[in-house]
Amino acid sequence: MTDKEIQQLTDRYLEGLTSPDEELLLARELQRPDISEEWQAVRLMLGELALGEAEYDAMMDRRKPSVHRRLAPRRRWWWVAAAACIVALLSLHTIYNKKEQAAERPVVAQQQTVHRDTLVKIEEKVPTPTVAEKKPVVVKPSPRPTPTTATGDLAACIARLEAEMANIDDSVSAAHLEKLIAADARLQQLVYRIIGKQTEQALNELQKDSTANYINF
Amino acid sequence: MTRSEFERIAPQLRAQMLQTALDFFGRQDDAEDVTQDAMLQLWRYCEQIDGRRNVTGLAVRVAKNCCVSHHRRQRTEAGYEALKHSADEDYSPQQLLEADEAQRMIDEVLARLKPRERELFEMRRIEGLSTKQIAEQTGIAERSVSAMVSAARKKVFTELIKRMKQ
Repeated sequence: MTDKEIQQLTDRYLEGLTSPDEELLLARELQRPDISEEWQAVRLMLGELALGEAEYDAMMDRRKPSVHRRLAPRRRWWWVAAAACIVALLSLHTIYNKKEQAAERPVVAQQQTVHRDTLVKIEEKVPTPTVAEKKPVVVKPSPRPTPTTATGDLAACIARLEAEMANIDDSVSAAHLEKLIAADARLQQLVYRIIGKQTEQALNELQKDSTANYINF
Repeated sequence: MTRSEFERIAPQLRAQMLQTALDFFGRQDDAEDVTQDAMLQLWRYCEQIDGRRNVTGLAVRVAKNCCVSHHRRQRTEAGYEALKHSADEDYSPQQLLEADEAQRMIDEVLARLKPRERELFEMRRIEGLSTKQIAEQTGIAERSVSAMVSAARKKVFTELIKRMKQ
């Protein structure tokens, strides 16, 4: 408080207009050394209890900031924990997306290992074989994965699908694979794009045979 | 307030004083010591006031005062450079004499006030009551309380200044 503010408070005190809290504040301010006789008189009038209480409150107030300092790191820790959780969630999301992409890619690659007669059988079940026949490459440009990742993912997926395709003669497995390809237009486009001419040749041969014969096959 | 009246409310007052001291020291042993001193001081004040008064606020004030005094003593005993003398030597001998003189002076000045003026002056000074609380306890209108407290303060102030200048 400035001297002017202390004097104003002193005047209010003498007029009987101050509250008990204001009188404690005044007692706190008047504990400074080398004050005028008038202020010494007011300090004497405020009494030892007010002076002691003012000192008690002042000491308790000074301790409060240290409590905040102790709590502050805890609060920061919660923010760090929250940030870590967000990073972890984002990482999981990225990994999940990669796995989803990987699940699409292997089927494409697998077609290269399928025997021609099996491939023909699969392609015949694809909903739009004629589109593929006229336009072997009808793929919209899609973001390419980085070569290293793609190679790694592709190898793993090929291995997995090879294991599945070992039972390709099993009608249930074959139907499952067909269902997978038929369910995803993007996957179909990739199949056509990657196997390219092989598909064209297979489809040409398919055209030579009658549909009825193929179904019987 | 009579001794029996004080003893009847003492346990409740003691609990409040102990809590005040615990808040300040954070240690049970120090808080107990301070509360013991504070109860003695409180009784000295209560001897002089009306037994029907609510002295809870006064008890807390006295407890706070004792906490500060006890804290000073501890600092002194710990050998702080600035306060390395005895407990009562927070101040120099000359300062202590001046303090005694000042206390005697204000006691004499207060003795010259009218009884009602002194009562209201002390209710504010010792018990720390607000104007509204004084009005409730005395049955005097708030505005009159302010006016009487103001008149008492101005009288005491004028007399103190006069004596200081002598």
